[in-house]
Amino acid sequence: MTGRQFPAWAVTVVMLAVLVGAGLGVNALEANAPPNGPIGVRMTLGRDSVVHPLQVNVSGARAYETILDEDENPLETVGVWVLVDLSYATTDEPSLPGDFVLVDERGRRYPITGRDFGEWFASPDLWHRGTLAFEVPLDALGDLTFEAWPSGLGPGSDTPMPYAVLALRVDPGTVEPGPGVVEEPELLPVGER
Amino acid sequence: MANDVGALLSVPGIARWIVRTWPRRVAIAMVGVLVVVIAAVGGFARVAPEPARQLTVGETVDVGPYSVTVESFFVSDQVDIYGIPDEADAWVGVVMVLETSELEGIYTDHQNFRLSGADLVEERFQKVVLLADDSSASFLTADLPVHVAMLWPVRDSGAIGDEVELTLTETYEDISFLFEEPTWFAGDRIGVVTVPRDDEIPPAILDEEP
Amino acid sequence: MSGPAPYPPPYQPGQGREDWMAPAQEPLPAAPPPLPQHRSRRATVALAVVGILVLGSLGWRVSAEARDTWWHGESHVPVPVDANGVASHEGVSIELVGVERLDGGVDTYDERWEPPAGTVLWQVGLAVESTNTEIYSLDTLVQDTQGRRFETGNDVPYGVEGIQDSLDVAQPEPGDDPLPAVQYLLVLMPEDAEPATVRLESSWSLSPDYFRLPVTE
Repeated sequence: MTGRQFPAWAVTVVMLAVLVGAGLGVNALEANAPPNGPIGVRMTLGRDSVVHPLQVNVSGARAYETILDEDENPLETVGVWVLVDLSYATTDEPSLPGDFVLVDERGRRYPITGRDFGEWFASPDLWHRGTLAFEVPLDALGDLTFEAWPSGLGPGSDTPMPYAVLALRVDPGTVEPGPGVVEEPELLPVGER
Repeated sequence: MANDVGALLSVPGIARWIVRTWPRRVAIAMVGVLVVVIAAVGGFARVAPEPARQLTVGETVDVGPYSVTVESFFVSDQVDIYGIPDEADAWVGVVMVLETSELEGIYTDHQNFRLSGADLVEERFQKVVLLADDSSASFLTADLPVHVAMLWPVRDSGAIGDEVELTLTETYEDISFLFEEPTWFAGDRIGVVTVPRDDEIPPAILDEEP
Repeated sequence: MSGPAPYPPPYQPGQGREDWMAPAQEPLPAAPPPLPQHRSRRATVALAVVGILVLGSLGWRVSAEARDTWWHGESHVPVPVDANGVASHEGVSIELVGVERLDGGVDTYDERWEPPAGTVLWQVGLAVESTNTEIYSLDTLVQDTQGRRFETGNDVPYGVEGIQDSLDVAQPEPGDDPLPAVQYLLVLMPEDAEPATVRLESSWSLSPDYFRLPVTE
């Protein structure tokens, strides 16, 4: 080398900037895409939780022997219906959430019922409150885990995606005869959940 | 040097090594004779498949991912009217109970079911509907038995008699050849159910006359 | 020729076949002369270039799937907008006529509709001309100054006079009504959302290109 082209302090500043930039980049990547498959993000009942691009706030769960479908006919089941009341919105883009699943203590997984109802489309910071219906056997009640998957990929996926997890207790003794009513999702005034 | 090793490991090299001494030649000849003898006594002939076991209506049969209890079948063009393919004039619906204990739930698999006794448009069933409310039941969740009709579109539905035969085949889960995802593969045929006809169709799955 | 004996030693007839596999009898050849203490600048540059090429090619291979799905599937290449505010691409020309607040709600076919507290209904006006016969409609989204994207037609009332549910792009069949000069769509956003751009995308027929029309006051 025949002489310095850059002063030492400039080199130091540039190197520091590169270092900090790379760190921030890795952080952002890890927040959006954890490297080791799906990662559960723990939720709290009644609090907003963010699993990009979804924001979820679960207010509770209840169980019924029968529920009414959209034509007000009772839906028969050999099990029971668990209704999860929640509201959700997205953070920055319109999106239809991938999956909502109830998991029981034995690891049995129950997606939302395909018999009627369903999830709803979400927009940034525009919260809808509604009810998700799950059909489960009676012996699944007790300590349940509620999972919200922003993308449709399941637990076996190796795509790094966060999903929200919430412990929900539904006692077998609290099953009401019903019929339970599944409300239409409702757009909420800003600030309400 | 290296040429010697090459010569030793080449095909002519190995062949020469094998026929070098008399004991080796005799051993080789005996293997040849054995093959000829096996062929002569019919050892390579194809074995006739085992006759299908007769299964009864109402019998619960474990086919691998789920169990099947067949009850009856119907023929109707009043079920899922808009879903009937153009080539078909009706559905054959086999009424059955399906139950799985797969923790994550499982999709019904056409490999488990083969229908004969009707002129099928396609060998695979096209849908599985819940008798209670006509919703799709092609996905089963653990320990929630469902009472369903499995539908095949058929041509010439008038020619169908009082019985059809449903062959149940076992499937097993294995990692597929490319080490991708676990896949269900067809295994042994379990048996055949002779299904009686019962055209009394649960009203929930009947469509209104168009 | 002098120097170290060849290794392995040549095969001599009469010796055992395995002799050449015997441990070396000869001393190992002398170590090569040490490398120059100072690597030349050219070598350093060459090393850096090789390193970059290796990393680059590995990265290219590893990212193949991500590039396929994201790079081609996501709308990320904006169509240039000309001086008149018109963006043209594949026979479709779109101009943003206006984005207006509709305070106080709108009349639907049977009742008055008012946005929930804290939200504001906006009306987006777009002038579309098209000679493209394959693109029928485009997803129309409003992006606010915070980068949030709101899709038109979500959470808005149906049956409002003069408002369409979605943007028509396809060239009408002969005999049909021509495309309206200006098409109006509704979008609902929170009160704090300030429209910045209007995005027109289609993951089927347009991606990775999309129309990005800036909202001017």
